[in-house]
Amino acid sequence: MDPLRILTRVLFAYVMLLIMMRAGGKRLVRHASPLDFALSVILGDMADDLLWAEVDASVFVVGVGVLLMIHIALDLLRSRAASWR
Amino acid sequence: MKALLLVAAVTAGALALVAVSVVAGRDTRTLVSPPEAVVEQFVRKLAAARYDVARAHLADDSPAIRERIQTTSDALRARAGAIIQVEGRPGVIDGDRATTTAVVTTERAGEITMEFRLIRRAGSWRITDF
Repeated sequence: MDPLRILTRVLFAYVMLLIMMRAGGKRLVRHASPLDFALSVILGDMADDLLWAEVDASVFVVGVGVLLMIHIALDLLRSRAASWR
Repeated sequence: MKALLLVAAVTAGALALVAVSVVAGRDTRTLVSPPEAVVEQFVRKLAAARYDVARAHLADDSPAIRERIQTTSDALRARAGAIIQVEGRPGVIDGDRATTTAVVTTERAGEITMEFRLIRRAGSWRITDF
């Protein structure tokens, strides 16, 4: 496999994950919950699929985006439920 | 709520970037899975008898092709034994069409070369014949 193409995919995955995680709002490990850890493992596996071209970049983007949105939505629900108690 | 909207916006922006690269830039190998990777995935799924998942790589998902996939992979396993390794080899890309090969290393018959023809649909490579 062409190393330059692998490098391009690595850069794309890294920048994409960096922007997504920043947009998601959690920047420090000490803010992380066990569910955040599980999410980071899943995202790492998805990045691996992109690096070896096992999936199209569009599939990676949709997968990461949807997972993060579900995660953030659940976080929001949890914090609202805590404030109602 | 702001974070949710931000992630949605970043997802849409990244999808637009990929679309520009694939449609306008005619990218066939970098941000899309290249033909040899598609073929390798397809044969790995056949080797694991995951026919329903393998069908996702096909351009035409008719009952006839489903039958052909199952009989071909069953015959291959019966003749050559277990599939040990699969390697997609880069072939020729001519516009929206490509030909490529997969070298299948088997328990009894050694290396078997399978040839595939692919077509590009909505930016992704799909197998038309093998």
